[in-house]
Amino acid sequence: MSAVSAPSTSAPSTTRHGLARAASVVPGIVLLFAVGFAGKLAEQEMKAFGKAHHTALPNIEYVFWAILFGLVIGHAFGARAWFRVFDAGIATYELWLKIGIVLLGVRFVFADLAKLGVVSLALVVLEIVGAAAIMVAFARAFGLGQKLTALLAIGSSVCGVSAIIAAQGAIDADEDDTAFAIASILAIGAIGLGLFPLVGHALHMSDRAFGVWAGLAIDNTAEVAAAGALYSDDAAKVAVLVKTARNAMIGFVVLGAALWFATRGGRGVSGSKSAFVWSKFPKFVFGFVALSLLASVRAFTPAQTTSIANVSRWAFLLTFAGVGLRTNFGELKRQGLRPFAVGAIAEVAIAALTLGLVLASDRVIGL
Amino acid sequence: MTSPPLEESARERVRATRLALSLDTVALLVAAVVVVAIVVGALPPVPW
Repeated sequence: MSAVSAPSTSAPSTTRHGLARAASVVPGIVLLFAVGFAGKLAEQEMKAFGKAHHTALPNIEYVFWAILFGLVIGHAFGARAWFRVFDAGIATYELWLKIGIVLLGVRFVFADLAKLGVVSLALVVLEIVGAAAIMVAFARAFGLGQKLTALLAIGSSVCGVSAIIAAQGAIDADEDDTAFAIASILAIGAIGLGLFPLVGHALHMSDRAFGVWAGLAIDNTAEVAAAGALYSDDAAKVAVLVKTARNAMIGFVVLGAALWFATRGGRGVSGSKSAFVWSKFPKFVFGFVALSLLASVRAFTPAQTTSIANVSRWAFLLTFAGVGLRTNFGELKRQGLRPFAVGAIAEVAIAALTLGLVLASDRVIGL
Repeated sequence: MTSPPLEESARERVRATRLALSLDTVALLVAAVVVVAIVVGALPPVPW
């Protein structure tokens, strides 16, 4: 009897638990939306003010305001106990990023996607080899351990925090090394986000060339999208595409690292290697490509295409608000100078290498 | 070389990344639902 009644008592409890979890993300998502929307309003108001007063004000994109408002709120209230009510919802911002990337596919004609994708993949392969070599050289010079070096090389060559997390289990790295690598990659990402558009403008880079450079050189996808959007809408589109091509390589790079450490330890990697690569492959890439294909065969009306592209923009807006709310310069400073120093020196070299690759490709084949 | 512990904001970024990695397919599904809703007219035109 009790065996029969048990599910009937636990089911409502499970449902309540699920509802409570769903409800717990609402305040943070509302905050992401409010911060992002305030950024959008600030951009519009500044434009309207300049127009009304016949004043030439700089065109400051909504993404800058959204990140700035997020930074101010995060620094002012992030440490307060009551702010914890927003944490679960703010943590969804990387999910919005992925949804935004999938829907962004609708803005690419497939032929363009294929051309840019092939060029990107070729540059990504060169970038991965170059970035990993540079990071290994600097890490050796600073006397870092092998696993920490591998984590930094993977984080800087492929895709930032998610690559480090994926590699941690595969190479059996400890939590301290992982924390060090993540702190380093985050510190560089926050600074690169502001610096890259400045360098791009100084060099008069085209939207495409800047997008390819940001997609190749900045480590975290959220910061790539934000740096691209700070430059221009088209640059953001290209930057996300190149970064997506880079993210797609994560399985191969992590497998390579896992095999290297396993061989050195006299072991092998158990299980199928193709299954390993598949498990690390970012599946949302299929959605991105599928939407580009559908848009190219005119499966959507122009109004539908506009709506899908606009939902993508709203999803990115939540992401940018999350980047601002979750970047804390005080904490980065307390994290220590060494993660920053090792990463920063290597990342400057990687940025210079990728900039050279992009400028040469632009001149030779035209991006 | 001793590594520093992760500060709170970095820890929360890791949490957000782990969540997104675990919800890779969910992102795909949500995007698919949005597209279908727009195509069948269940969602009104989305402005920007």
